[in-house]
Amino acid sequence: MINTPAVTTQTEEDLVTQAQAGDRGAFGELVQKHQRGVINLVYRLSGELAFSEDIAQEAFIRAWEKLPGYQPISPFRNWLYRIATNAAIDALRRRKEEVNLDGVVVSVPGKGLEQKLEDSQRDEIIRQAVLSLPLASRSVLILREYQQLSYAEIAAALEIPLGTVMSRLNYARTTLRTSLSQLLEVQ
Amino acid sequence: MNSHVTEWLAAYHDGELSGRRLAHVESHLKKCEVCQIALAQLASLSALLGEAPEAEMSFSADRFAAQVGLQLTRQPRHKSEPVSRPGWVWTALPVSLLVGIAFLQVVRWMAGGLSLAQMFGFGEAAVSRLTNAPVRPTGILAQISSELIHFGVPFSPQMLIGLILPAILSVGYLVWLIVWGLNQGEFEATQM
Repeated sequence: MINTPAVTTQTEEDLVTQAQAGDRGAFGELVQKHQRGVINLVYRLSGELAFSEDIAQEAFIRAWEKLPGYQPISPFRNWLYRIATNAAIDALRRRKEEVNLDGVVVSVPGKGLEQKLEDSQRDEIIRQAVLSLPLASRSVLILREYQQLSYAEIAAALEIPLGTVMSRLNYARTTLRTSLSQLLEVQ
Repeated sequence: MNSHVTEWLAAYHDGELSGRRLAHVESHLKKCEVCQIALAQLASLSALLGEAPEAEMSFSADRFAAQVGLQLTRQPRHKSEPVSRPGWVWTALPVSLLVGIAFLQVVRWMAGGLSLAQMFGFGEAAVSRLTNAPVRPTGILAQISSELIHFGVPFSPQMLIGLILPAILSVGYLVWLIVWGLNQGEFEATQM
């Protein structure tokens, strides 16, 4: 079991080096630091919470196994997102894109019931629109819009040329502008 | 007018432009309402997407980390140890097979040499003693021999040395090569 991390001033680079040497406690701190980002990434891709948590776990396990091969030429976060994206894409393809949106927990704190319902419908429309994109362009859009990766980082993460990143992003945005036109007009 | 910067607007919006291209897009935007509207649409879409809530984790961060920890292997896999397997066995296996194949080849050459010597009449007495010595298969060889003869296949020790053993050793070496190749592939896949 991973040790609960103590208050620490260690840099991420130190933690990665220690984890590469087999320090499970250091890896535990990396898991704690990046778990929310990884779960959210998979959640945006799949629209399903339980699936996201399972795939996030799988991604961290894969990361541990591949850790000796990691070279800090790119940020650890991007390397992790690359593993998580690939794990999610593999799993989604295995499931033939049968995404189940039931049971998704949406957090809308501090609002009245009507407003919550309205917001919830709005969130649902946005999520459905994103999920209806092809997996290839959806991945690029999510890494850009939600994970704030640069084009070069997305290209490295998905192992695709920079031009492909731009064309997929353009396709995703054009499609979303059409499917979300009603919501965009209200804004 | 086809001087719009539409194709660069997304990259501008994402902060991906620099240098002269950035300056060109910025100066164009100051005077082009069409491109300003297109840029505003991109910004609206990003803002709308940003409204979608994050996933609410069904359990705590500590529990998640603990669950991951339970599934970790003891050590991350190192480059020098792609697959755990006794090293000396892994190396000795192909070497033994190759030595076996070489040994059989030498035996065949020697047998050929003796036949040649007999043909040209050199050391006839010794050669005929060696080549005419009755060689009867025993044990499992006798069993194989009788089975093969039963199926109409003549069996002789020469056949064993010349055909069956080299075939077995070659197949063994081929299997080792395939397993080695698969392991190499697996190891490279871990170095992503």
